Amino acid sequence: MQLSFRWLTHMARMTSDPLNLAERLTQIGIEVESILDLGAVSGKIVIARVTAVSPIEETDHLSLCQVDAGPHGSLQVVCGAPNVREGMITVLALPGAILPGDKVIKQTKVHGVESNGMLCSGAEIKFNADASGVLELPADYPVGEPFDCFYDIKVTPNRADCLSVFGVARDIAALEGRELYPHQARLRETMDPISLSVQVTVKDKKACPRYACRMLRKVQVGESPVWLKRAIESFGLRPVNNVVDVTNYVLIEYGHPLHAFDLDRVLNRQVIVRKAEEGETMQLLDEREITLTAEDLLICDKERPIALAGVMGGANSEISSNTTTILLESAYFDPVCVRRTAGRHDLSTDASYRFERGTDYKQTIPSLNRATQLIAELTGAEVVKGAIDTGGSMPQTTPITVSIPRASMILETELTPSAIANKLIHLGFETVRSDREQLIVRPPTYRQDVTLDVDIIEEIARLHGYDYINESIPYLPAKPFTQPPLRTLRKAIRKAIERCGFWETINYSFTSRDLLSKCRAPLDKVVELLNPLNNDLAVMRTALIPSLVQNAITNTRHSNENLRLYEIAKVYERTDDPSEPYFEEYRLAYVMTGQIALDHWRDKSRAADFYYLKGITESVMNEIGIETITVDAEDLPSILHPGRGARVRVGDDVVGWIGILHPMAAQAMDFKDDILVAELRIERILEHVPDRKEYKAVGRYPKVSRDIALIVDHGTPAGQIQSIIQELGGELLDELHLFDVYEGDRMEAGKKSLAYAMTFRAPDRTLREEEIDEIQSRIVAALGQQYGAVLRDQTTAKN
Amino acid sequence: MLETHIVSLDKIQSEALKAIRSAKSLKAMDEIRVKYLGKKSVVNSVMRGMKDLTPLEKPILGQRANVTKETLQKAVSEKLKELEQAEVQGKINKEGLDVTLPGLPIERGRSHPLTRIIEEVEDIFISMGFTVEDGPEIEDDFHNFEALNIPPHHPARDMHDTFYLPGERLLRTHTSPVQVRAMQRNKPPLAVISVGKVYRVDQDPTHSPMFQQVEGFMIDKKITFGNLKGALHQFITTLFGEEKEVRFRPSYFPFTEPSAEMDVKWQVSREIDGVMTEVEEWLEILGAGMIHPEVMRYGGYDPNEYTGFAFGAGIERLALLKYGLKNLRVFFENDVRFLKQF
Repeated sequence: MQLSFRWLTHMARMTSDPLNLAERLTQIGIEVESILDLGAVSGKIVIARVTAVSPIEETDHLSLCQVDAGPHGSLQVVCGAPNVREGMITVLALPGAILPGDKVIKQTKVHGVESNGMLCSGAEIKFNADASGVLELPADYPVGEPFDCFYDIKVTPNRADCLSVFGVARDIAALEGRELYPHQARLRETMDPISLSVQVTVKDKKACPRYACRMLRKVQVGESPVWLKRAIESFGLRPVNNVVDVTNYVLIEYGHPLHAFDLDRVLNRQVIVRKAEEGETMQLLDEREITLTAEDLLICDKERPIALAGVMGGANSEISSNTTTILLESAYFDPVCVRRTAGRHDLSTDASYRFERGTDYKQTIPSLNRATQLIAELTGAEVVKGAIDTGGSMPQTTPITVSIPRASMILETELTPSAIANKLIHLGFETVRSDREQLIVRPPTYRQDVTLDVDIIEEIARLHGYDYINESIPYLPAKPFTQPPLRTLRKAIRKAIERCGFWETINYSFTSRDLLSKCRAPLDKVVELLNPLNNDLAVMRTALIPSLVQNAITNTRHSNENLRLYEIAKVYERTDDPSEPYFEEYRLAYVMTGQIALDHWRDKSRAADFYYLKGITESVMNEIGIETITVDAEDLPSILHPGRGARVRVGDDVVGWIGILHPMAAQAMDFKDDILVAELRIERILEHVPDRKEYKAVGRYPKVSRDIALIVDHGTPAGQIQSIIQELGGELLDELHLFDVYEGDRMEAGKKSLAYAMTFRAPDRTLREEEIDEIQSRIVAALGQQYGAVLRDQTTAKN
Repeated sequence: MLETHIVSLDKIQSEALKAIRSAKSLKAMDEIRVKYLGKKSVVNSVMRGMKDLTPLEKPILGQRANVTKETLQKAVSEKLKELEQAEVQGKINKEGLDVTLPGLPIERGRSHPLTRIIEEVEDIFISMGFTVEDGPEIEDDFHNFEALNIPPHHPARDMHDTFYLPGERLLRTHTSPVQVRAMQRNKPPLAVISVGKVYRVDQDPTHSPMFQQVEGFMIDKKITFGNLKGALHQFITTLFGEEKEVRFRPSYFPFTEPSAEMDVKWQVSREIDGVMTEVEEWLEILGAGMIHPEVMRYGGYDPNEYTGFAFGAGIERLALLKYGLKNLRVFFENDVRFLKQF
């Protein structure tokens, strides 16, 4: 909300430095987020009177002006504005002033004529958008004073009472221990009462507890006077005419929205407040046609809607230059009803914003009268006697009991009932009763947000100043903290994968259907947002790999190569269970491109391949306490290359997948090289992480090493050979290491040789060669039987 | 007889010592050792002549032979040591490296700067006695709003532009739902923080539709507003590694009352009169307040018996300040040139 400093201090009947006032407002919870300086801060843009204007010869539009700038003296200024005239009050930027957009004003010569500043248009100082001439100010503005500044104020949703100049002024005055009173309107009325001319029926008292209106006749709609235009503009609104501007003025002044109807266009001069029929339509002031629902509240005439209650008027009853009779509405609408309607039709207006936060129903008539008086003064209208006021049951404020010891405890401040009461009175709170232990107060009607003792405690703290409450350190029992296991595991994984050279990335949890589909990620259970920001962020990730692939590609485009990236984040999917419709779980994903290491003067680079990825996966799993993983090529997800992908198991449990990104996915992503990808299910892995490790004695007896080379069919999986060796090697087989795989010239076609180094060791004795021979021959026999494996040296012997 | 033997021992000894002195290699030394000290050594062959000596002479020759053996052994081992050292020295002399050649790269990755901030924040609060909890990101209206005293159609919902999912679910707009769940599970005294991803319909240089939040609260019988100020001031001082001036000012959150916003005084560069100038500004850093009685009740505690404070801070915002960044987007671009800077 933008407020004029000049208007605010005038309303609060105070003088203040603008920066200091902004600070004080912020300190009482009315946060001034930014200040647009129009001279009040710098002192370099001032109010001035043009005392003489003469055209400069040989120019077609420049004038030489003599300007009275009060204490800054009488200055000669060259001005090109067509509207500059003698006697005009306007805005002068003195030499040294910096206008928005960093334009610095200097003493200068224009066509050989000295100019000591610049008369400014509204646009030049960002007061309004008008660049057609200098900004005209009301005649009573004090010449020589710095002009103004605009506060951008952030009003929190609970402080509906501060959505006006008066509301903010009231709070700042209360801080100074003063009370402010609203205007009392004085009206001259006709003899005939309004009830003879206008009939009001409220059909929905819940949505509209109070509806009041007045009628004005012989209205002359026209342009607003300068003071009114400037006031409206200082709030950021555009002047329309002297009727609409007054309703806006009172809204800015008191926060109470009003609406003016052209009464001649209200059929039968009959006002009916009712809910809309489902599917009924109306055209709004902004010319939008909307279709209503049965929950929307309407102001109607005898036949049709003339306003969407509390939100916006209808086009059919709009004030025009021909309007002569007006009906001025001031009502209290149910906040929820207005909020729902505004939300449903995507309309947020200054009126709906205030109604939905709760207006002060006690302000209904004073605001109505204030606007009536102003319209009468400005348009020469006649005010028809009396106001229609449906009254009714209004939200009440109930007395609140505050325990003084409790308030003192929470605020760590010695409080007394009388000191509190004295502060609250300026905010409009009424003391119902007070004794040493407690205080009972009734909040004013404009403070519907204050309902509990803690609300009063906040008011006390606010006026006392949060800064004056001492800092203290709380004491907690010395209770050790057991880390949640999932958190511990995530940290351990992070450490393990980083040790392997991977850099962490963080991606949005939402992505595009397109990306998931290009990467061949699952889409059947994808979670869709109902209101996504855009198509690129429309669905929740079902896998992390696609984002990482995208990161890798973007990095490659930036010439970052040989990437190793990882992410730990959640994936999401729909379930079939209506009570738990969504499933989310933590995953670890990592991707690699390019080389394991760069070409180095000592070592040649090697391309990262499946086995490197597998090694990393094993290393990470070992690091978190899982000694063995098994991989197989069953049931691969479609994201992986069908021949170069693997499923990762711990025991029988599938905990993830590793492999090369499916070439179709790489092609769809426009990436030429292989990308190694892996995605592991952290919560599944957690189930296999041992709670503790048990000590095993370190062998003290010598080891026996044996190497065997086995010839098997090309298609025999090495993993199966290995598990048989392991099984038959039993306890005594300490280490097993595949050190060579050979296929080629020296080998029969369709065969390969696997060379294993086996290390045997017994915990309690020195092994005898014969024992090992026996184990080895059992292994060779079993492998021969099951896979037709033969020892390589045997075959060479035969040759 | 004895005389002859002794003379030949003397001769052998001086011959051997000479050979040892002039030996040039370990191999030569091996030969010398075999020749003079081995089983079939010349010394032993002299000893074999002992059988012809008288019982009185035998020990004399024995002693003499032992002296020779010891002398030679000593000389051999000294020479061996000398030769071994010379050999190592020779190797060293040949082993010069160009130490200025580049080392083999051992690449290690690191955590994302946001993760590092999260870990720091968690560590600080853990050191202060807080525990850490986690919660779901897909929430229902009750936990995200109603249990936090934000009824439907409350204007405070404007502060939480929410992403909705089918089936009356939403992406949590803050980590506060964890608070209610943690309260329901535990008994006071209780101090918990929770860090995680939250989502709001918002995107500009300082707002991201997904961001991370740290949320914390402390509940006991006499937790005060002063405690809130003290604990959070200490947190900020520890996080930024130096005493920071902070201020608290009134604000509004439906789940706390009184509510506060904490600002920290920060050195920033601003252009003043065309010159970049370092100025101090108050920057908003976190929201906090005393837990609202309604939230206490939802959590299962009697608000007349217990009080507590709660706070929430944006991790990205803390990171922007800590690392001096202006735009949130870099955090999610994941350019390794950026990631490697932290």
